Amino acid sequence: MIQTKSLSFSYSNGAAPTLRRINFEVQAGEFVLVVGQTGSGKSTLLKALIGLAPHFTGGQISGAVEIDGQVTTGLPPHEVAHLVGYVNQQPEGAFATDTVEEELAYGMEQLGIAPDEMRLRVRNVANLVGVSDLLNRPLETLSGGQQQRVAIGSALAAGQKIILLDEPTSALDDSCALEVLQLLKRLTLEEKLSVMVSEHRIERLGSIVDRVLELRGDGSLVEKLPSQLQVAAQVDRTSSSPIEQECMLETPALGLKYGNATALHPISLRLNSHSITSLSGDNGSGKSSLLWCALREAWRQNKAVAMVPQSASDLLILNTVSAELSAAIATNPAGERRAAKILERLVGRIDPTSHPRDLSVGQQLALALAIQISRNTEVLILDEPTRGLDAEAKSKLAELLEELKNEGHAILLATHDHAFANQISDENIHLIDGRRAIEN
Amino acid sequence: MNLSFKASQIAPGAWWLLGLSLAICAGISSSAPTLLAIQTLAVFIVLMAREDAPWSRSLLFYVGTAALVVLIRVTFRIIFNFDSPDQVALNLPAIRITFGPLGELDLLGRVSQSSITTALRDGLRMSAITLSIGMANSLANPRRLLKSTPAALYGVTSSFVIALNLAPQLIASARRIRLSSQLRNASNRATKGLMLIAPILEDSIDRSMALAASMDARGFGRRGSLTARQVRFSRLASLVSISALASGTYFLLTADAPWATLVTFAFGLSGIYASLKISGASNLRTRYATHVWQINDSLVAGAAALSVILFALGALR
Repeated sequence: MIQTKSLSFSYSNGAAPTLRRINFEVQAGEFVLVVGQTGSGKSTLLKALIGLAPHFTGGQISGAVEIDGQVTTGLPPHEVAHLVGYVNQQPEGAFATDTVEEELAYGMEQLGIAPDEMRLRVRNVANLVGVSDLLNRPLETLSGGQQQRVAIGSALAAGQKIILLDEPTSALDDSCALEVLQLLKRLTLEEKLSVMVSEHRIERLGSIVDRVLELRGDGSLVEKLPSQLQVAAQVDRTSSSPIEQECMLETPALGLKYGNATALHPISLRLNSHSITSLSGDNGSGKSSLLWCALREAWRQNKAVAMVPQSASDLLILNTVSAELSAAIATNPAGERRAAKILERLVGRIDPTSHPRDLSVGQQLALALAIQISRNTEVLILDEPTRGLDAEAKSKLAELLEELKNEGHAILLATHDHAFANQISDENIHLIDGRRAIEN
Repeated sequence: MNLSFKASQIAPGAWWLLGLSLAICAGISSSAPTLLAIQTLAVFIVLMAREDAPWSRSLLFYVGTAALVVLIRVTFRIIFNFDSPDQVALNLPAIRITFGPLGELDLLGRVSQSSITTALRDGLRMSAITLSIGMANSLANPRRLLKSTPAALYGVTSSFVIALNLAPQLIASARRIRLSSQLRNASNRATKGLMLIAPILEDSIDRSMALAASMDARGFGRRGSLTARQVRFSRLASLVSISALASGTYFLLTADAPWATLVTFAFGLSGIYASLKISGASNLRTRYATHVWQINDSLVAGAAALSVILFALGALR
């Protein structure tokens, strides 16, 4: 269904190619996983297959892409759309309509599916991805995970025989992520769909995928067996001797309403030094809301606090990575060096002259983390700090947070990644529908 | 029957019709009270009909722009003023700049009452047009408008998406960037004040591009079974007819050439019909939920048409 011949792509003339003479083939009914470190070109590969690269990214492409027997190299994305469905890595910027229902139908409208058929498929797909209760909701009010489900649903509804998904489960919790991937697996078996997925959380994918393509940092591609998927070793927790903790932030009961809907029932928080508190809960359970409330409260109390929001790229507003890093100086003289060190530690060296926009999502997150952590504030608030990070970067982040904790910082983070949360947190607050559930 | 005039209850096309009609009325009118009335009406309609949507938050921006337009117009008139025998309203010290052989230019000096009134009226007219367009832009949902866009215009899709999305996106980006600098600590020099303009612009364009890319990848602007030649023709026809409509509007405003107005309008409309015929023929796209044109849409559109007719008659008399 998909075949590439010596496919190469580079973002600018003279730059090292992001994809280098790549050859592979995907058959009907195959489930193919694309892996590689943060920034190795996974997103670029998917974009090059459907023409988004170079049509919307600039750059140069060479070699050939064949989809469903047609040579599509050089065609703009809208001429390939009837053959391939595509799910963007960041659904929130990709929504073309206002409500969940319209968004699920959007792809079908473009392909000219009959209205009755559309209505039927919208219901079915909403059920499949679990957004039936949200059909009338404005998209901007959904949580990150709910948005991701809508984006996947919209691609499934359109019904092409090939679907490419760029980190489709980065904002979903483990069980839901597995559910989505199993659903895709079922479609490959029952409907002979060809699925290509780029993923970082590969722990449980060995049994689902048929083949694995690994992009190495130099732009080349090697094929692996699913059984060869390497899972990064867990970092052992250093059992630290009991330290005198002091309270860094104590909040009154925080609650939040959007119009008539209650996003968060009042919850009070106490963040201690030398501790990591994690928030868990389903998509839309109020994790982000609680973090924002805590941030506002910390501001109100004039505490030194730094936050990395869920859309971490929101923090990046300057033209080069080095400008972003040196902007960290103003608050803390050692900030720039510290930020640069943290960045390199998390994702390796990044060309300091590159534009933050051109970094991969994982690299953007790492940059935002580096900038905010280098401010050395008493309280650190992180919303989904592992989204888009590969296993290695994730374990580096866990180490880093452990160090910060030992230095005496109070860290509050929300994550859907249970393994990550269990690994590093001292206290967990579980949220269900905006209420605090279990504590341990 | 539900007679609601909230922004989302009315077809976006009707809002644009109303906005353009008010703009045309403002263009025809030359009395200051009428122009002020049009401005008040535009602002009033936005305040009454708007709902909480990103594109509805731009009212203040348009009001500011409108005020700025008047201010600039009058200031320019005072600075670059021509001696006239009329009653002098302001007697400022004159500045004479000589350009050697090119002659000389007088700045400031005696400013007549009538020149200020004229400048004020011109300024009011331009700001009334600004507010009318601003009204349409604040009330019409750009995404729904894009959906009801004739297939003929799909040819220039990406630029279309970006253009329509830019104003609301600018406002969203400004909020986002302000939040970002707050999160990164407001005392940070690199992220303050005027320094933010470039990032805001860049961010809006990036995000509009991202949206255009996503829509494109899902098939927006698909050519389907149309041949390259049909596509070229329909694109050309729509471009030519839009230019014809624009020049028709110009003739209408200058109001000296009724025949030219009629002919260009007729030409423009038939061109659009032709290109719609071609691109509509291949049945490429379907609609999930169509907005059924209802009585409240007709009322808005009717009011728009009526106002233009009344103003045109008034101008001809």
